[in-house]
Amino acid sequence: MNDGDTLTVQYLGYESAKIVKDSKSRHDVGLKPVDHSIDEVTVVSRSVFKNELSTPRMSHHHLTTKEISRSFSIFGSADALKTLQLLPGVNSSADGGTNLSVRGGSFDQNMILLDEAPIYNPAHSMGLFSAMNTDAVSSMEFYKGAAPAKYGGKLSSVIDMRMKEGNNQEFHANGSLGIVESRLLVEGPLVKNRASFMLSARKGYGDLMIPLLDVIDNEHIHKNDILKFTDYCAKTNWTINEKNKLFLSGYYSKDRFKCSIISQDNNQQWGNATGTIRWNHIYDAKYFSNLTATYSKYNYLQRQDEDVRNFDWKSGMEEFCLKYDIDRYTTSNHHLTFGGKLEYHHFEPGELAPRGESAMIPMKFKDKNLTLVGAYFGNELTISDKMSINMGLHASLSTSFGEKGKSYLCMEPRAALSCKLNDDISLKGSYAHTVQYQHLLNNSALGLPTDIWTPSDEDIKPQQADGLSIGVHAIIPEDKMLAGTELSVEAYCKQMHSIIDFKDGTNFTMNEHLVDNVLSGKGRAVGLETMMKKIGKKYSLQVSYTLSSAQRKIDGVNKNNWYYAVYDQRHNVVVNGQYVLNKKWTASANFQYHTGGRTTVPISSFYAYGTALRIYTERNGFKMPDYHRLDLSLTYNFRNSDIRRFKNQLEFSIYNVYGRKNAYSMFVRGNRRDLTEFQGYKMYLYSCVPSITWKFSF
Amino acid sequence: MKRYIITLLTMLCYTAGSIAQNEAVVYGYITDVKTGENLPGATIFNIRNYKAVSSNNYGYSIHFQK
Repeated sequence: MNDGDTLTVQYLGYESAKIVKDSKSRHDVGLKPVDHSIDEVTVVSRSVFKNELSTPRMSHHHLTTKEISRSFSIFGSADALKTLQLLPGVNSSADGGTNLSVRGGSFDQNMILLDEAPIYNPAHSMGLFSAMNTDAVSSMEFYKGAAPAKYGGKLSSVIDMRMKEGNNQEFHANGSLGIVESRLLVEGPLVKNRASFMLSARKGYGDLMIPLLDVIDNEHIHKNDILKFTDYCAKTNWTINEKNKLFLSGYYSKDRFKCSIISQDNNQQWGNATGTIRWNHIYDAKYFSNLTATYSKYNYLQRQDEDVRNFDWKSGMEEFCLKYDIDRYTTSNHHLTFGGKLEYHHFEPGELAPRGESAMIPMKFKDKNLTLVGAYFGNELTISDKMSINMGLHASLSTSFGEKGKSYLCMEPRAALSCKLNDDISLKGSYAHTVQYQHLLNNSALGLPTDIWTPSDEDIKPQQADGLSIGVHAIIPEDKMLAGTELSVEAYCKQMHSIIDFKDGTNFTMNEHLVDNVLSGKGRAVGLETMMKKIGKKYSLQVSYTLSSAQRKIDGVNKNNWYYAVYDQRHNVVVNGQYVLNKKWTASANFQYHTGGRTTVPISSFYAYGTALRIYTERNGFKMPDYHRLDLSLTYNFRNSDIRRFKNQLEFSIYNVYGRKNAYSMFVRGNRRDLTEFQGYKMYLYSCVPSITWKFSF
Repeated sequence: MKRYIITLLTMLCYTAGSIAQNEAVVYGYITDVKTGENLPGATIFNIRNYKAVSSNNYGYSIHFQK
């Protein structure tokens, strides 16, 4: 590069900056954030997307805090994981839930990372809120296809969230007060320009809303039910010198839940805890390294208070991980990544401890352990101005210990290709083979805290998948109508092997032999995803449509025939938009429609040998009612001058404006007098839910 | 296993072929000027030839030019 040449640096939501090349090589560049309504955002958005056309990344979304906060969610608070449900190829398992099915995969097949530490239960309040405080998240990478080689060990997707580092220039606080949750975040410098901190806390008190919820027609949730949660994030960082940075972060969450419809005498508590230490080191301009140590823990407690049946039921898991990643920038056309990791997993499937004068017998399921050694190699090459390719290999050796412990060595190759047809259109394709050594023993799409994880062993092989995607990405040129509109169409096909399901009639409660009921087989998923995105001077609009199918075939299930997965939602449409009416008012709208998911229900019943027996549909043979809802919100910005530090706004929102009773789950209740009679019920969580939230920052 | 080895060898060949070119570099962190936080996924391009790169997951980037 010649002296005097100019580089432009751009990031969505920030003013562009220029670097004029001089004799120095090192240029740390600071970008100034801008209001999302001005022209700069439009220009930067187009430019960033044009750059994306050249890269071999596909099925990838980079979301910034601003994009997340623009999206709509229930009770007026943007939710990082629910933002992903607005993207094509992503289905939610239940109304308002945070569990995601990505391209026909189950929700345990998503790798959810917060500062590189895995989160095993990403939901608060049975999925009504995601476990992460969006205010404390700075950005999110989402891969639903071939992820970079550094990621391995999950079948369907990678959600890599970064916590805010903390403001190293000045003290700052922001928060919100709402009817079901409130948040506060404080950040500031410890040493200006060198070290900073961030602390956040969030409290959910959804039980205030419980009297308004109408779970089943004419059956209100009991007023003494509990729906509370808290979570805390903390992070600090220290710039030791130009070449070294240290980061330390932690996350803790706890949920309390009691629902009298499920059980009168049952309290449940669960929580996640993570910790991360990270060291970034620049060896020289071309070598960048990252050493990370993480710890992650998930635990669950069920407390039963029922006369002589008093007991505590505990389960959980924890993970330690040490990994080292190196970025090697060889030339302008070549970027190499490589590294390795060591992981240790400890599983506590369950322990029953009687309390007081209980007639219950203590029991403890055997703990399980898994170690994993992995290494990867990724290679991004720009072959010409029009073509670039990314190849990688992630190899791992997993060993489970115990009675049926076994080692597995698996390879996860991946490749992606981008071919630019002209400045505005590119063709992309990718392939990835993925492997998963941990399995969630679960038979529903809801994602319950009682769910138990187990490692691969002699009986349960690692789950594997081969995913192939092709797509066209384009931006409408400046001289055409709808100039600057981003368009993408992707088709995918995924074959899965050794995926698991359960024998008919499996008991999931305190069953020591649950693993013995696991069956494995194959799955297939196909789909077509389309998305249109337009960011204008005063508005943003995103429309997506997905046509998809997901099926399973497992010997011993459904008479060995193919059957639909619970996540199979054939058509999925999302329209999400925002319009800045004036300096004070901003309006948002969100519409979602998808075909109902699948479940298994009884269809008839008869007496045999004095017992009432039910006949069920084939596995997941019942299609739930279609899902649709419209959300609207209006935000009022108080007179916030640039000079005053204190800024605040009020957000009025209505979730599910026309009060559609979308199914959360389906179940049946029998008649006590005639056991062959039963009636089906639809359980739903929300009809029309208005909310008001006050947000502030200073 | 054979296909994995072929993949690996292909990658190594490309690696070997792309080293040792003499290019000037501009490198550093991309940050938010108001908070000092690193910005992953920022785009850096040369106005002269529109060659672009992105900052990595930690906000670090390097731009080459012959």
